[in-house]
Amino acid sequence: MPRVPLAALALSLLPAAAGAHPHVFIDAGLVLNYDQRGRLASVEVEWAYDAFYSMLILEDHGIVPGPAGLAPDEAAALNGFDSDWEPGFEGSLYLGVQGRRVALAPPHGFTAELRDGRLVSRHVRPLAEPLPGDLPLLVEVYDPEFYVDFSMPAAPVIRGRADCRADFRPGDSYAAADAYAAALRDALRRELGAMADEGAEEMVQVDIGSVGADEVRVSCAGAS
Amino acid sequence: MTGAAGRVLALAGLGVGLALMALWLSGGLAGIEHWAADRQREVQNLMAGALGRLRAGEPGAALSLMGLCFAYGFAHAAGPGHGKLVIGGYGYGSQVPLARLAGLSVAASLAQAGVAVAVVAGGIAILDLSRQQLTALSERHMADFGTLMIGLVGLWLALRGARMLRDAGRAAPAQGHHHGHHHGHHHAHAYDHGDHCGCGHAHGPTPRQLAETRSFRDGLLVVAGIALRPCTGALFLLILTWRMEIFAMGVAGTFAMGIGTASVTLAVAVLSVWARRGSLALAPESGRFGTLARVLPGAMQLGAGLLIATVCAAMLLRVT
Repeated sequence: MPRVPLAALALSLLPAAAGAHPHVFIDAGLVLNYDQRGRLASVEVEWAYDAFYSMLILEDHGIVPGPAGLAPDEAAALNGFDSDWEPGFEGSLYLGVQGRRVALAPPHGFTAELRDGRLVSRHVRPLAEPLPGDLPLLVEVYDPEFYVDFSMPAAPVIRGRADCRADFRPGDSYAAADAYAAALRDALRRELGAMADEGAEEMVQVDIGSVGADEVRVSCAGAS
Repeated sequence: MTGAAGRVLALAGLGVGLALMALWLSGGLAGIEHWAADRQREVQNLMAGALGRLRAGEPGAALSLMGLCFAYGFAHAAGPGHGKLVIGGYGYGSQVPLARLAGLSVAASLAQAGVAVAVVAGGIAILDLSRQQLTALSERHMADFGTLMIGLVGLWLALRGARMLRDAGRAAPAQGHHHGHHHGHHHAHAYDHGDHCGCGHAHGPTPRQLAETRSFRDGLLVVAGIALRPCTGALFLLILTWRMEIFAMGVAGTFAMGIGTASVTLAVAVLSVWARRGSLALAPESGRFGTLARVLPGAMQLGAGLLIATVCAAMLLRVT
């Protein structure tokens, strides 16, 4: 327990006060592509933005969709609207094997369309190196800062292998808020401790997005 | 008879306040935050629909947008946030009367809406900022400034609490008794002026004048601290309606969001004052523990102020 009870109390209050409010809601869909040797080679990612944020992006591009949807030139203008990733943005897609994170290559092949008033964008994330398919794989989609609230309405599609099974677990969304509180508390305790020690200035990183996020465990029956 | 009933009622307020606090600290309110995020997702999608119908000139769309904006403000404020921290802490720790605190929380929410309108109108029309620049301005720089202001409110409360404790230590016991007798008599009155009883300074402005200047300054800080952190959702709405050339609708919607937010902070204001009365009712008016009655208001104010200041300091550290 911290030495100063008041500080402890303040730290407990902080997550609530700091308020992690999501402002964008995205439904994510995934396709896992296995190559001819049975290795996971790439992931196709689909993001369906909420209607409000979609409207904002359309207005950014000066597009007012008619009843028939987007005109061809409008659709072309929208392609790649979310392809300009800030440095440090990891694409909100996380693959893990045996407790290690799998390195992904930069995205390519951005497309976008309008579906029922919602912008739907697609891109491909190749793996830095193809991953042997017989290793149990953990797939997660989340925003560590919780600015975007991701959810995966459906299990990923598996292409290229018939012997893989996706164990799809819709997230425990209650867990996310709890985890945010705990993670922030721990991070701040570390931070305050470090400051007391040597006055070090470091950014407090709080990563909660994965807790309670929709996650998928993929297992395939032995390498082909 | 009435005195006893009032005391029980006051203590109930403390009980409710403590129970909510305990729930909050133990993460028991996380469910509410989750519920709020889900509502926000729904409302956000519905708002897009209403805006589309508004653009198409459908009757009734304006009204439905206003209702949705109110719901958005309410859902957004339902999770604990910075506005509720400062209103709650100020209400509990200081001697602010309920009516003024209620007025402050409504004023703060409306001012927050006003700031969002000013940021978007000024940002687009005068500075020609992009949406990304606008949201960065609000989410990074202004939010920090608002947190700083709220932290100042906390420090200011803490400082005054410490002064009250010092003065309570100095005051003659007789004065304490005198204060105590007034207490049972005229509840609200005694609380409003608890700050000045036993203070002993006879010169300078009257306590009443002092209190008015002080509460004006407090009020200004509280309102500014809350207002300077405009809600990103309101900015989105304003930017959209500006471009759709229905900015007036966006402004009205933003104020509807503000009223939605105010309905939540108002509840916090009532609860904090109620809990404060409960805490004060705990202290016996005379006898061996009579000192407690003199020390308690100062201690409460010091505690609430330090809490607000610490939370703000930690928030600012986080975003460095």
